[in-house]
Amino acid sequence: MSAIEPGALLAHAAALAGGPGATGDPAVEFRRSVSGAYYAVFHAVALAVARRLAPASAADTHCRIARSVDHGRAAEVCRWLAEPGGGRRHVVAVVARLRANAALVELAERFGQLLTARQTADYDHLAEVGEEAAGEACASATRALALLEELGGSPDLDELLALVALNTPLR
Amino acid sequence: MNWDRIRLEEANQVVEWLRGRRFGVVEVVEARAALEVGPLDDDAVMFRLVLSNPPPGLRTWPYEDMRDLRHAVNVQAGEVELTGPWYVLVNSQREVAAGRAARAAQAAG
Repeated sequence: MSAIEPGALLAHAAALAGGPGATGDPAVEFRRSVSGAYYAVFHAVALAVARRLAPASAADTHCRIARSVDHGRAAEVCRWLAEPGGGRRHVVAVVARLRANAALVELAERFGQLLTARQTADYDHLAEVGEEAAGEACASATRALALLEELGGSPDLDELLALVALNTPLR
Repeated sequence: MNWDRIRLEEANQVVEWLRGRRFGVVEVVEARAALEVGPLDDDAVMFRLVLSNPPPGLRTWPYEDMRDLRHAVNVQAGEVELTGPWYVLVNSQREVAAGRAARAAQAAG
């Protein structure tokens, strides 16, 4: 099985941020770098959600479950952590408590920021996306993956992943 | 009540605070805020910042300085009670200059 490995995606994004590579066109590669940095974090979160839901299952089951995780739905949950009173009615108190976890809030913020940067890089013809913007996205993604690792197994991360899962329709 | 105008006024207070401010080696050279379509397809405030170029030898800005910058935006947004989502997009002076030069060359044919 050829899995989408977040660390490998981020390594590729970082290589693209380093300047002209395969295409020789830095404008293309910097944009792909920002996009890849976001996708590294997205896939890491999606796989973490799947592992949280079915911890004893095989890797290919995690990959299938992860396919349902949606960019917008995950970002919506991340945004709840940024806003006082964020969340749906029955989980407002849960979100309010999670907001006290600075590392978790930072992870959620970086997810939203990277998604925004990714959409700019992928869709906005007029945006400037150069070496510094690509490097910044890769640095942010590196930090997000480290936070995910650092928070791994904590009740707070489990609850965030549970909220992402509950906010995600099965596909 | 024009909520968009109120949000922009709040965001512009953050912009005014940011202009010229330094976070370690990072200086906010230009700053502007606009209401744009956000990642959830709703109206989001985009803070678009032009930052001083990274120090020689660095490909991007120091992590700690950027963390402090982003944290400061959040704190200031809270101070002015900015409502709704906001995001920070950054470019270096070099990136902006390169983009302008490329567009000028394209326009000149």
